[in-house]
Amino acid sequence: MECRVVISSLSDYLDGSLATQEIQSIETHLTHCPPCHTVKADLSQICLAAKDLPLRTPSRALWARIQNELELETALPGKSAKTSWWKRMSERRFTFTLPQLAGASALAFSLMVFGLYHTLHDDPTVPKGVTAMLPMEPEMQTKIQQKATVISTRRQTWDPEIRIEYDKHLQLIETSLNRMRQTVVTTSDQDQQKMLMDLYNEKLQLMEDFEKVGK
Amino acid sequence: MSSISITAPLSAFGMPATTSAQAARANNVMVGATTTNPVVPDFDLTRAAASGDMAAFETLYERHYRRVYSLCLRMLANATEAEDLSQEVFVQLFRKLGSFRGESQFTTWLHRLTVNQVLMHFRKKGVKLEKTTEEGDELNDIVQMGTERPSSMPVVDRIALDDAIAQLPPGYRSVFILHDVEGYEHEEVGKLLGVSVGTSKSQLHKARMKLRGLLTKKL
Repeated sequence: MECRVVISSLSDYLDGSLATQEIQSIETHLTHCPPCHTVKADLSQICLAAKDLPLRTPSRALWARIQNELELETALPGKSAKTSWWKRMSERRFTFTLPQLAGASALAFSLMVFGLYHTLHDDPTVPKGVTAMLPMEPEMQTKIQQKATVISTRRQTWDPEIRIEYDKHLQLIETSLNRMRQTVVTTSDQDQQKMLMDLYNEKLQLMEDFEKVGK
Repeated sequence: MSSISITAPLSAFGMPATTSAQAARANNVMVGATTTNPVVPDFDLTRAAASGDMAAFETLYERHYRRVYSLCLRMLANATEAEDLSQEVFVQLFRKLGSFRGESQFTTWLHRLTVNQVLMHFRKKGVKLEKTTEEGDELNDIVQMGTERPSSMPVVDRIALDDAIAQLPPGYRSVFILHDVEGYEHEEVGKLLGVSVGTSKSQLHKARMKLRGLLTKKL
């Protein structure tokens, strides 16, 4: 058997994929040919070492990068219901035209006047019977009142876009809240009462989220 | 007698079995993949992680990140790309955890996922794996080098071998890593790389001979 043939078959020989007769021929050759025997021994060492290579370590930042990507992925709309108002708000991009800003400022001013009026007077939209039906409502209103006082001073430091967003969401919640109060008075349905309290909680949550702005 | 001696003791890279992988990672030292939390099986962790338990996913990461990264690094021979791809592997893993049914070992499944990501990366980058026939010309030179200088091999260790692997052409490197490092059979290597079993065998032999040549040059 020639050296060339033996060497070209060495990997198959080492991997045990040759027929018995070929194995015998190669082994006979290796016994009498030191150069081929050296090559065989070297390849054998390489194969052995390859099975036990040291593990490599990536940078410490790798896990943080993976975590960030997964967090971004799970924070996409519809994938998590626990995203806060503020988080959602801060991730949004706002573009407004001048007339839009002027209109929104007028609306914000009207709301401020409206809010001020309600701060100084009893809320006429709350029917007397509702407080008795929902024991948690007065406590909730007190909390909201406290938040409203903090926000009314803090909102002066906000960007106009944030003020507009806040007022828009507040108005939406208040509209629903007023409607729900009417419904609760007429039906006394427990589910409706729960929904009313949920709206209060939502209003409070909105205020708490925006309270942090400009702190 | 062989002229190569594999000298680097692996214990030099290991950690005591009681050391947590997290602490090891914090200190940026090497630790075996089986040293962390041997109580909870990988399969249970995959179930927990699939239902959103990030702590379970982190434990899986701690157990396997070095093996995944090492595989990426060896196949790509580029540390930055290997990190990027390891990140992609774990993000993919998180997405696909729900499809792991435990029919195979988790490590086998994860390694297959990693190999597929690397090969996809090669395809995206347009890396051409060598498509030499089973009787390529290049082998002749390597054979001569082996027979003419039978005693010229230096004393090498595993790190030298690792460096030599990085110098192999991508095709040879892929076959060598898949077969000799990761333990895939030629049939599997052929399927993964889209080559015949004969070509896989031929390229493996060339890769081994080339490595021998590269290790010789180091002297």
